[in-house]
Amino acid sequence: MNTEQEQLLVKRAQTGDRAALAMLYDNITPKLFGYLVNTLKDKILAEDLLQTTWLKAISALPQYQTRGAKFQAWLFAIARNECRQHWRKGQKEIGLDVTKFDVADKNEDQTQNNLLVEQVLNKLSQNDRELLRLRYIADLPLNNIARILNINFVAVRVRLHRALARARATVNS
Amino acid sequence: MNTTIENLLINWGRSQKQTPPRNEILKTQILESLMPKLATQTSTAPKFNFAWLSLALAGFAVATFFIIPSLKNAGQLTQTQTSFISSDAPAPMADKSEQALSVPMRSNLGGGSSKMWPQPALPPQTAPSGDTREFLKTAYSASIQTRNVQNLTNQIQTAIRGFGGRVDFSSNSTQSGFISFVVPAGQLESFKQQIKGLVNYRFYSETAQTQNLLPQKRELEDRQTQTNNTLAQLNSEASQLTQNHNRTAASLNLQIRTASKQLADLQNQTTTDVNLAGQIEAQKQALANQIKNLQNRLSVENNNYSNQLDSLNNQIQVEQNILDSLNTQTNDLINNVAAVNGTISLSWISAWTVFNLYVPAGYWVPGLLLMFAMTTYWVSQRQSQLVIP
Repeated sequence: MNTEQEQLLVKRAQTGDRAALAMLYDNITPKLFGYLVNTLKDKILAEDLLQTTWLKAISALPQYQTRGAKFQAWLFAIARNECRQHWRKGQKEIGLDVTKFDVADKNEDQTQNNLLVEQVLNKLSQNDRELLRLRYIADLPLNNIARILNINFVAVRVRLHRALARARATVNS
Repeated sequence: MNTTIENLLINWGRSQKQTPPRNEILKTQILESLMPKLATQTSTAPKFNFAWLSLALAGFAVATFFIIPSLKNAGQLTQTQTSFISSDAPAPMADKSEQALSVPMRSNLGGGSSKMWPQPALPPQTAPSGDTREFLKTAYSASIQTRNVQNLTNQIQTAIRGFGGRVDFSSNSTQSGFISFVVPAGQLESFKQQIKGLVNYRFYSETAQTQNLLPQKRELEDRQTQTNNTLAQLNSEASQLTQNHNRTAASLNLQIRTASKQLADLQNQTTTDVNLAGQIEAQKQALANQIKNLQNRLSVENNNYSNQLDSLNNQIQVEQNILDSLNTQTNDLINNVAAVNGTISLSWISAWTVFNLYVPAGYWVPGLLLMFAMTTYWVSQRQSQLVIP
């Protein structure tokens, strides 16, 4: 779904069109849920926060303005804020649980790769992990990530470049 | 390796995308939360993008920052030319002795004071280069801008008296003030330092003009020498006149006494001879005439002497008066050199002028533009932030 299509659907959803909202939901939810699961390491909690994120987004939909960012960037910003509120209550981000990857998978190589990536991410800082999640799970462009993280576009590029360099160094080591 | 890590992450990202286990239930709940009333609400029109305005204003600020110095330089050139032309015009002077030391009563501020002051006039007379004496007369003038004129006027008057000076004239109001004063020449530097310490240097400007009064002093000395010579000559003439008169009067008196004695001797002679008696009578008559004539000459001599002596005494008195006057003028000149005549003008300064004094002329334009640019940038940043419910 490109930006224009997304904007069209958002406008329709703002007028109360549930079909448009359903299309947006179907398109964004896999990324959003994947992001939340990867962040929280808890599917039930991720589901709760997914629901909260969508409900908050729908309640604020009449006031929503693009401001140069995609609708999904806004949703991810809400989701990220929900995660932070959750952590503020005392529960920090959970570390890597390798037993989750012990289950036999159809695609053994993919499982191995995922395990490797998770191990690499685990050695990176929380900011780097957040950046890589937004980039590779949410598939967001750099300017949208800049909006979510409230930092400069150039800073996002630099941080991403450094995070990849650190990940590469970790893989090599 | 770069491609490998990125591919790993891309594949990892794809594999992470998943739907929640209760996806359909969640979807239904979420879709149901979309109220039909939203249909009546419309999204607000996109707001003006301040980012471009911010960029444009910053650009203008940079441009004006570089343009203004060149404009300022052009303005300065014009002012210099004007000053040069005006310096040729004769300045109105009050008194011959103060011709070169006329002090302007008003001046501007802000660093460009010198161009507003008249050029010091050349000394009216020149002294020979061999004479290296100095009789320096200093005239001091200062201009101060302040937010509290009356208070500062009182402080300056106190400072003048504190340095052993006197205030000749003073006036002040809420908008302006003026003080004319005299301070000892030896205290001038200390006095100036104290006045400078009363206000910031930006609000203070001064002009001190110094002139060597040697030509005037030499003129007085020449006139004194000339007068002394004249006086000595007159005294000598009077003395000579008295000597001559005494000599002449003594000679006449001796002749009168001799003739009187001869007349007395003839009067004592007795004879019966008629011829002899006639001759004696004739001699007596001749001696009486001679005595009378001598007495007349003596009287004329006395009168002439008296008149000439009076005339000489009068001339001596005149010259003496001139000499006294020259001594007084010399003393006045010495006293004049020992004191500094000064004026201080005060004027109230507005907050805008204070701003202009602190900010270099014209630079407030790029400053203002930069401020607007920063404001619009801030607004644009706020606009671009995602509003999280």
